[in-house]
Amino acid sequence: MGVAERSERLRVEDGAADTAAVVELETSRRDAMRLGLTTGAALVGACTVPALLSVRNAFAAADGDGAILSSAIVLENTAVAAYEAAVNSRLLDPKVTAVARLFRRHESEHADALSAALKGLGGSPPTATDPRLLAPLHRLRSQAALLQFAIELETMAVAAYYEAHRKLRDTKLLQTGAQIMAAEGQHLVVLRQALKRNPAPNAFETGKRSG
Amino acid sequence: MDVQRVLRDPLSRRRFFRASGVAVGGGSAAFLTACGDAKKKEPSADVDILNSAIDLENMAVAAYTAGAPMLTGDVRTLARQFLSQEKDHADALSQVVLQAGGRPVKPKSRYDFAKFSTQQQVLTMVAMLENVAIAAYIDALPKLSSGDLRATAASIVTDEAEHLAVITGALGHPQVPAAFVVGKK
Repeated sequence: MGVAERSERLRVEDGAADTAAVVELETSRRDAMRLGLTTGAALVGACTVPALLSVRNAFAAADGDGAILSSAIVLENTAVAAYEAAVNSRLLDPKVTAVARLFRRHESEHADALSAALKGLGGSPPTATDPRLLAPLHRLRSQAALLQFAIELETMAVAAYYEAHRKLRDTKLLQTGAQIMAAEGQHLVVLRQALKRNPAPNAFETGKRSG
Repeated sequence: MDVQRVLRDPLSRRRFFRASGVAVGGGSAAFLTACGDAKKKEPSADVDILNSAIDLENMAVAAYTAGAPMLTGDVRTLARQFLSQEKDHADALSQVVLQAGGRPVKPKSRYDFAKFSTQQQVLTMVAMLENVAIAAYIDALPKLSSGDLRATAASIVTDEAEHLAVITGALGHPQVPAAFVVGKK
């Protein structure tokens, strides 16, 4: 790795970053373990909400842009309701409450945008939530459990949008789907950090690992 | 490659992407009713798009490699993790280019970064790179020929968005400032 400093600029020469990356990876992995951060599959912990995993593919099973949009809207409505319940649980500290309020608003914006798109295709946006996903909420008794629930919900959303990208056809829908999926990923970063976990453990965020 | 010029000057960024086969445009969070189906593309058309993405990934690898030593603590650890993830992206995309009969681009022989000496300067620079990558991937995604490739691009852009959230948090800025992550062109 040739990193040479000139008067005003830093220069990385010889394309040697590749070699450095291999060395750095091992160091990074050791450092991560020392700090209590782990990567990849090791982070898949006990799922507090098994129902979430069982319906993970429900959204992806939809076929055609309109059906995918409808499924996505129900999922976003469900996320709004979940964050609403978390805010009202009185289990969250003020900082996490503010996060839950922000994410509730984001999920609502997603639902609104997806609903507008579905109307544009001539469909009727669903207003329902998925009761199977919300059912476990009343059993959660701590901030950590609610954060874990939110991680699983967001991970499920990422998986659903990931699978949807195989099927969506419309250019704008594909792009907006990616923008929403990326936002769910950013939600995951904040939630993972709140639980002192590695905030971005997966190079390919497919929703197949809960993190 | 003068990275700072590419990052700072919108015209220069557009030229870079255009030359690489990725037009920088779109990225609007708003849904429009104009609905054009993603046109069917030949796999060979993917090669130019993917090579421009590999260029960005290689630039990010170089930036994290150069910047990581100036970082401390958990931020440094995470920067090294992001470096290896960017490398994973470049490797995976290179494999796809090979499978499509193309030749994946190699890292440039040299990257010129504006001199940085503080953690804040490093983080600001890599945040700009992540933003540019996000915008480029979102623009390129519908142009890819297969559903598998589009899903892979979406998984990469989500990872880049996660990097960005970590970096902006380390800079003391809001980590999720908007409901739609569009990057910066």
